[in-house]
Amino acid sequence: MRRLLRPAAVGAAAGTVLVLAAALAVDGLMTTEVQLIVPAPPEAVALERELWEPGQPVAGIYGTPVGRPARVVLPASDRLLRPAEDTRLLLMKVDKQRGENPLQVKTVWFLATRLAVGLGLAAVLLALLRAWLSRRTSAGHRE
Amino acid sequence: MRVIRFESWVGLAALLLAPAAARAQTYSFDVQPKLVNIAFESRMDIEDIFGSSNRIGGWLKIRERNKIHFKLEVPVDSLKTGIAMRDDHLRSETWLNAGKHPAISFEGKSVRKVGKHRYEVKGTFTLRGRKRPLKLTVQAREIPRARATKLGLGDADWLRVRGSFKVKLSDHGIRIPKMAAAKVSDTWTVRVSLFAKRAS
Repeated sequence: MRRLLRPAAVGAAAGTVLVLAAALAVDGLMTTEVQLIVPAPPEAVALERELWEPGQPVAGIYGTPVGRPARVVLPASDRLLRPAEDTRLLLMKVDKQRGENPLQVKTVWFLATRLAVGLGLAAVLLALLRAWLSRRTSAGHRE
Repeated sequence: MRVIRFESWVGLAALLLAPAAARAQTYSFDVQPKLVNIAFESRMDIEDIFGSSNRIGGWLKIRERNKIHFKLEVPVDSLKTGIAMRDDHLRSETWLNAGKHPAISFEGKSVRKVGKHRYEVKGTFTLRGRKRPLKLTVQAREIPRARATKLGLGDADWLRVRGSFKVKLSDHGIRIPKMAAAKVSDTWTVRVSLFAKRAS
């Protein structure tokens, strides 16, 4: 068993680094900042567009905006919308009535940090266990 | 319930500024679901939860200048968060207790103009059977019959109302279980975009 402790500890330590590196890669390479909206159906959008006046919030034409802009992992392109009224805005339609749940980078970090902490602790514990077993064995030999 | 803030648009301006009507005007919020957009959200460092509903019932009566009575009701079972199991939890006794309190309502008699298309609305907000005063500023806009017809809404006067406000769950007797405390905020933001059709 002692022989397995070293690779296990090294594996757990490597896992910690890998998990954090993967989260960093997802965060840096796969996310898009969007304003999430509960989308209005096309008929309502057409109506809101007619009622919209310059100076009013643009997102409201397309639905009800939710919170601050969020970073979403690999958003489906058919859910993204760049309004003609303000091309700086990037909206993402999230229809909760249809069970849509885009993955936010916040959630990725939440999971990654917990997993990394777990693996890191496991690596330390395994290394300590191995050291303790080694010491005990060598003490036994000396006696 | 403590309301922190509410913003919206309602076209009541013309109605409030107009001479007192000879008879009451009634607007119904019970319109096609596609014209109802209600979003609610909880934001925490760990997780954001948000959901929606496109069902609402209710009315707004204008008796004479500044004498307005309104009532809005949203069925609890229409609230969807995108995860069926979470929706079941939301309807359970621990949270909104839909079996005993099937609707969330807002009713009041006080509407005061505070700016262009902006009105301060006061009323009673009822969630899970607990009533709390709610004061909010809404934005409203009237859509006269001619324009409504042109826009495809039908041959009637309409109102469009938009706004947002905050709801504190603990004010309504909801105690967030310890297991969910890190993920669910006690304060939820609610945003509404509604249309009301003149019924009489």
